[in-house]
Amino acid sequence: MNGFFHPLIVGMSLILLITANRLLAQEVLVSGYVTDAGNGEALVGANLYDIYLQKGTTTNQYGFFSLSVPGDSAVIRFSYQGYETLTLVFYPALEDLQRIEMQTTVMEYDSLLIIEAVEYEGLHQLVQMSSVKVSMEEVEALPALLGETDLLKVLQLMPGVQSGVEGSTGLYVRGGTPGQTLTLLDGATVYNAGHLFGFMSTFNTDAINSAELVKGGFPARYGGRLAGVLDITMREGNRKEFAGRGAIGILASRITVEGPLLKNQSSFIVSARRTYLDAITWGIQKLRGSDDIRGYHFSDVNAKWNLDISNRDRIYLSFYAGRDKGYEEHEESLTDGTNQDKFELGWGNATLTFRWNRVMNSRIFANTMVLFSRFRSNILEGSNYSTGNGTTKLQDHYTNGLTDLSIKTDLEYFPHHAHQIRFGAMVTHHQFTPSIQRHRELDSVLQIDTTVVIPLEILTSEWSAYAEDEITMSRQFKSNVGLHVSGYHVDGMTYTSVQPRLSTLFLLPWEWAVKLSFVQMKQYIQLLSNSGTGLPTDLWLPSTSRVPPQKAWQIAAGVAHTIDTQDLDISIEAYYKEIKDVIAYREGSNFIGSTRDWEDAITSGKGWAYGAEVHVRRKRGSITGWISYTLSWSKRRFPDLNNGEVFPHRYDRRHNVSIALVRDLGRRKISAVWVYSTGHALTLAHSRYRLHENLVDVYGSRNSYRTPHYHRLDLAMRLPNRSGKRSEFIVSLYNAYSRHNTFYLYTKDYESLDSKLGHYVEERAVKSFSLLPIVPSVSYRFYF
Amino acid sequence: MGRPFYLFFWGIILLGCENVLEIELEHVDPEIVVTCVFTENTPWQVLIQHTVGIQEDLVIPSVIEHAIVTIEGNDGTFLELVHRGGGFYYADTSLPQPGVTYTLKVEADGFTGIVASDQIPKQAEVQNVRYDEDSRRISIILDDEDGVDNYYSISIWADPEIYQQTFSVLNAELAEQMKRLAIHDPFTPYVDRPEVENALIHDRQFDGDQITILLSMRFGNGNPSTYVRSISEAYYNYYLSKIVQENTEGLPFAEPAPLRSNVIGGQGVFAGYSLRVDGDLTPEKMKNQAIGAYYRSETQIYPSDPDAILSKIEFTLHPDHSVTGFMQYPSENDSRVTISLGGGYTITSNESYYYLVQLHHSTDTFFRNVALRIHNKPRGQGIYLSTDQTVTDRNGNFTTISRTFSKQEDNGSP
Repeated sequence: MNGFFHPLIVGMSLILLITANRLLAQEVLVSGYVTDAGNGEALVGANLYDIYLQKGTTTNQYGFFSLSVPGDSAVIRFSYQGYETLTLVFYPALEDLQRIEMQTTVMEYDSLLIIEAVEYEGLHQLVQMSSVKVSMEEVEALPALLGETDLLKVLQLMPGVQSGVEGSTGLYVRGGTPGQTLTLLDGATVYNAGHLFGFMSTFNTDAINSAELVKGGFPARYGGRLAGVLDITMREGNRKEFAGRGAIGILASRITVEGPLLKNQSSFIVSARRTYLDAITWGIQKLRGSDDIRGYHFSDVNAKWNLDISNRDRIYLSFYAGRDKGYEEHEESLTDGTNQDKFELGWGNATLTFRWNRVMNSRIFANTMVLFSRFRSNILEGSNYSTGNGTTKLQDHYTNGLTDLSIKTDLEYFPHHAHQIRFGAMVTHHQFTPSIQRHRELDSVLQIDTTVVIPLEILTSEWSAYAEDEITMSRQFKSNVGLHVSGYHVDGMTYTSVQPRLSTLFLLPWEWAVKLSFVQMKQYIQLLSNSGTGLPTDLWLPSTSRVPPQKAWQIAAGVAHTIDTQDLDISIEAYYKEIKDVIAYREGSNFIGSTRDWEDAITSGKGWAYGAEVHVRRKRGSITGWISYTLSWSKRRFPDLNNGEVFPHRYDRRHNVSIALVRDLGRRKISAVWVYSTGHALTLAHSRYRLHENLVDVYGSRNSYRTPHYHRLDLAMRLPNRSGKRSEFIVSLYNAYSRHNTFYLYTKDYESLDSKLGHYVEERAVKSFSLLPIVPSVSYRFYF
Repeated sequence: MGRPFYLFFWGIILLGCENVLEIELEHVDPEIVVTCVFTENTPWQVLIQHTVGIQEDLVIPSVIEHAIVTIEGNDGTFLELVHRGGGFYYADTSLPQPGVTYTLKVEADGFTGIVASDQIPKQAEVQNVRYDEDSRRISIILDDEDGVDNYYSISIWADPEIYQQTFSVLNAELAEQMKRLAIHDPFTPYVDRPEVENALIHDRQFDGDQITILLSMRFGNGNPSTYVRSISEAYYNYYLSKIVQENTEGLPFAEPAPLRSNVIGGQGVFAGYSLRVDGDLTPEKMKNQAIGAYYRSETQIYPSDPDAILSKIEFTLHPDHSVTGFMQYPSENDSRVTISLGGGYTITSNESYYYLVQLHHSTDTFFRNVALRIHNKPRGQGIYLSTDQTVTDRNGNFTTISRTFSKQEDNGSP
């Protein structure tokens, strides 16, 4: 199969196709940027098409487009969800870049509550399948736990996406794990997208422009992960005027400030968020005179700056940093002095992106990026023992992490209205530090200072290159053909991979589109996790000579249809996926204590997943939202686990239903989310026996038990301020009927007096721990 | 290990609250459980139990007393083992020999029969054992056989008991690196678990090399005796997975660790080992020290229940390692119930001798399994037996029941 898709053959055929098309008659070439007229923000994925020829395209991630239409004039309609549609006429010999500014559709009472698009391109016209786009307006309209709007939790409501344990933000895309989904923030990889042990995502919705999750049919430009790609673009900041927004919630508050630095040439945005739980609990603990002080907080900052250095060049600098910290301190007075114990657990991500967009000419758009990404987690344990004679210090510090440095160039070439070619390359240097242990002993009396550092560092490099062509043969037949090649160097050896990608669309009568796709993927770096909660104990590790990279292929087929009169998008898809060399912990292995010989603690196996998804979505009207249903299977087989027999994946959930609806009541908006899913799989002991002094548990086959079904209803209401000030209250109710969903099952032993027998008996019960009952919250959002 | 998890749970409890629901699981048929580790020239002794459903009470007898237990060797040996109480089956007409593959078969009414096979591996080639009194460090040098998977279990006995504080395996190239690690080393490589009292080693890191095993003693008097066992793969897998299971107990997100059993159709272990002892404290000597009569009286088991008092228990370990005895227990109507003990011993990987005894009501209703562990008594005063159990009552109170049984000749009559 790989030979058939040899890069040379693909390249040659592309050139032939393009040349043939270029020989055709006169054409009108229009290119430029589409931006929001109010704040100059780029509109990502705006539709534009020639109304007579029904040929069109969408703007790229930077709001850029290039469209050529045969003939001596082109009547192009620009549309974007939430904006007034714009129709413009263009003539040939138009060399300048166009700046298309689109007005938001304005509602009388509040210009910020954006309503739906008047026109948009339906799903049935897009070649890309298995993909969902979410706007921040949608995210903010839906109920949120403790009022913290969360992009990842909204994505979990999409078909084909499972959530992990209750409250967690991990994305399990089509039988994959969170570690198999690539999360990109302005092009930079975010390795741990969770705050508060994975219960909140690190993405501050105020700083995000757009987000797209691709679950299958990956275009060749994406690579490096098996299951999914979440591509998030940060906002650029208002280019016209200074503005700001903020929110005050129960858990955290956030504020965003943005504005022009040079009008229409440069802008910035800074957004920050922090929790204040620790401040409150600290006060309570102090008041109670407690010897133990415990606290927890997280914070994050997003910042972005951009500048037009010429008509055709724009540079951007974007930055993200987030940090979580939990701590516990204990102080006690002893007869001869005092002893202080300290424990700290922290983790965080930082990314930095420098980007240079250049419009080479009206047909070629180039984007070059230098990317930095870093993830670190650390555990610190220490004690300070002081007496009149001196101090004894003992400190153990454990760190693990990963630092990436990458250079990436992407080119988009629009040679002809029937072709959109993208190609590019990327080089990444990974520095893995799975374990750095630092032990320090300091005794001022005995004059001993011992510091032992045991670092474990692995350096690897990864590169990739791709080419893809989105070919529009006719309105009825479109295709995206591409090839992704990649390589990875570790331990003096190199892994390589050639991954063909193909997506096609056939438009049947009555506007029903049939879509097909085939992809191959390879993943060189791996997430080792045994909690499923996004704990900082999840460990990113490289493939090595002993641990081969994971590989997958996926085939997907589906139909898509848009009912214009009802503004409904309907999508039905089925997929089948096979994964090779997927990793898992060996039985009983655990992160703590196994990092040094981690290669021994894991084992490789095979996985496969298949299923079907139904998605009905309405983006416009007084009721918007979606209904999604997923029927899926996800299985694993490891020679070393479960006696080599097939077992279900932990989050193999047969049925998944999500209903997310927003009702527009004019001034107010109410929203509701209901989710239902089959319980997740787990392994439980079914029997036991006594061995010497202990009881031994006998387990059933792996993941052979199920937790009870999961279901939950969340409600929210947005109440804009009457006084005309731009602010609103959001009242929400998480788990409205307080369902006791199982967080985990556990066994409990106890002895009891059996009155009949007159003696004690040992008993054991299996119990279910539920996490979040009904959680009401209120938050306040304001704009200035 | 507990701390990050503790913090994690503390973190989530801030968000919600605990809510415990009881869940019924489906019934699973019980399976035969075999416990038998055998070595050269030691009588066969097999403990036959059965598994008990997780939600069933452990009050019913969990040993099988009417099983047909046979052992067949590929040298033509055929033995039928005899039940001698407490689920222990015994044979001494033919003793285990190295190099012979033995197959154990157990049939019992109401259970699926089991089969298990293993043999006694070659003795470990211990070149030298040295003990340095000043550093309290023991070094064992052994030659590992090349090209073969070898498994070792190493422990030390001294008076009264051995505690290995640190444990490491060296070969020449690693010596320097290990010295650095030895200062504070929670993650010693090459030893699967640097457990106090016990070490299980696979030779994958040093196949065919001469290696030095370093142990340091914290307690104990006099010269230690080193026990180097060459163990079979089945032995290694079973006891290693048992340690792993114990270490992951109570961690809700750790992958569960099933025991790796070589018993086909059932559970447990049937595995051979060969023992090399350097020093005076041979297994025979230690077992013989335990022979005698023991007693215990007046132990309040449950602080929350003042009526629950074990009034008196007496038993005798006989030279053939069987156990007899009785127990008096004040039940509700204050009648005295006599409880008899079955007998037999079993050895674990960490060189502790356990007598698994059963206390029976005179009405034959099973009361409780008790594992009695032989200890050397401090300061050379002989041997005592103890049993420890941690139980939780319905109110969530934890109680450790610790019973120490004294030898009668040490303290006079009860």
